[in-house]
Amino acid sequence: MISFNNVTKIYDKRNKAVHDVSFDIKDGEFVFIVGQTGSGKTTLFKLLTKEIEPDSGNINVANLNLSDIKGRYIPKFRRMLGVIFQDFKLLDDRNVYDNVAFAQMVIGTPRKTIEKHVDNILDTVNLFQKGLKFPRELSGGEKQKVAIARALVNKPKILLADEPTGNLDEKSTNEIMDLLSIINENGTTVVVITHDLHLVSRMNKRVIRLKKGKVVSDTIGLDYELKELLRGER
Amino acid sequence: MLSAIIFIITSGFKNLGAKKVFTFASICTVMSCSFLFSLFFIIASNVHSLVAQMETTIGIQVFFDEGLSEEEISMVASNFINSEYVDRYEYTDSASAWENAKKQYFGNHIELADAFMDDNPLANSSSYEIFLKNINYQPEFIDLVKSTKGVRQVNYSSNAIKILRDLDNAVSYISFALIGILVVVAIILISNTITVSANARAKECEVMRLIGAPNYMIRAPFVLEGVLIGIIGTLISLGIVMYLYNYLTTNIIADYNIVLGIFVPVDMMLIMPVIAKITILASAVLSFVVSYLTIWRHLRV
Repeated sequence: MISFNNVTKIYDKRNKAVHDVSFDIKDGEFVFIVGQTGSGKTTLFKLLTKEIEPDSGNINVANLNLSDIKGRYIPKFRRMLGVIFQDFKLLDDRNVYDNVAFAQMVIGTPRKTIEKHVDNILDTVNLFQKGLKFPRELSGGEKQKVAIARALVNKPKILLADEPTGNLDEKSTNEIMDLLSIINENGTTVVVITHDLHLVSRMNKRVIRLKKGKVVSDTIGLDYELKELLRGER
Repeated sequence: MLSAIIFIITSGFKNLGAKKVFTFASICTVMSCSFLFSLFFIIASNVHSLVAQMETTIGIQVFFDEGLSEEEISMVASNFINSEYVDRYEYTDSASAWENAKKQYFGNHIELADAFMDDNPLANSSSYEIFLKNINYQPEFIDLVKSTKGVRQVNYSSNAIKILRDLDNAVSYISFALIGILVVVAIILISNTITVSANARAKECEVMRLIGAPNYMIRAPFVLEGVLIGIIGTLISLGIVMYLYNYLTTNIIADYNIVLGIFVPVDMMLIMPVIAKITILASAVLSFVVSYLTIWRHLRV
């Protein structure tokens, strides 16, 4: 589903944001990408969403070489991805229903289809009753659920989550991770970028670890070094 | 497709209301621009009309050497009345000239003219009044007439029309300069409004981009906002211009008709459709181009 082949991205000569990175993520996998600040996680995210171009190497997503996608086809490519962020990026002047419907409206989905899809997805994330609430009236966990609903309403093949639990308490974090697991079990490939090792440890999924722009490990669960680091913290 | 159109239209209108001060300033600038254009267009049209009216009513009067018979006068006149410059001409013999003069100078006391008995004081005042096709031909035509043997005197008015023509040119230059300045101001203000609008909606644009909204869906509301600013400003100015012109032509000019003499202002129903077409089209095109270029530069999609 996702394939990075010797990808390098350099912002300035002394600082290689991503250096010779290679990995494959299969269809339906749940993968964490971890690393400290400055390890290249955000650059990886931007490369995946084709916000930036690699200086060398190839990125393939759903059998598409991203370098071959011309400007006007980028929006169509992005519809294969659902994205969620740490700061939710909800529109404050729209209620829950409209925030989710927004994602369909901007790609020209007919109104009746929008109603059906939005109702279904709000039901899936258990927010059907809160459709008329505004973001300011919701808890952090609920806001992230709305963001997930918005990301999923266009039925993407891949869900990209950039620090999705960064602003949440433990209870909400668990709810969100449970929701992401269900979404993954239903066939969507899920890629979560995080630096929260406790969360990663609990989930016991595949973990790709970045350090100074390079892949230093690719394991199921935390690698030895991270386990030791976590043990030290406890 | 319908939901996309509804989204673009509602977003465009929403943008207008979102930053009222900027929107108001932009509308006012477009309005001033359009108002001044209309004003100078009206002035220019009326000056043109006045010049045209004068061209058809002010003739060149040609008098002939004393003692020439009617036939000889006709022979002399044939040298210039058949010229390509001439639109029409009227011949007044000395008897008719005296009759006209009596009416003009003695009015109701025409018996006073009896003092002249059968003596015609205008005996040598047979004349041709010649109207040219275009007042611009006047210098060449005057030269032609003056150089004709048998012509004693040529009366013509060069100053009034020259002044009007100069005024006409001055109005055109001033209006072009002012409109040019206002267009630049309008471009800057519309561009600023769109930039502010795009900054205010940066999060929305980012979400749209990452969701996979087509580029036109992201840009179109801003372009529509710009076009709406242009059209609203123009429509307001057209309303004001129509009201003022109607007031001016039906009240003030009618009241001072005696002073203004022959001047008949251009009919509002003739001039306004032309102004409306030009200003609406120009403002829509200008605001479309400005907002499109601004958003194209500002938003990477």
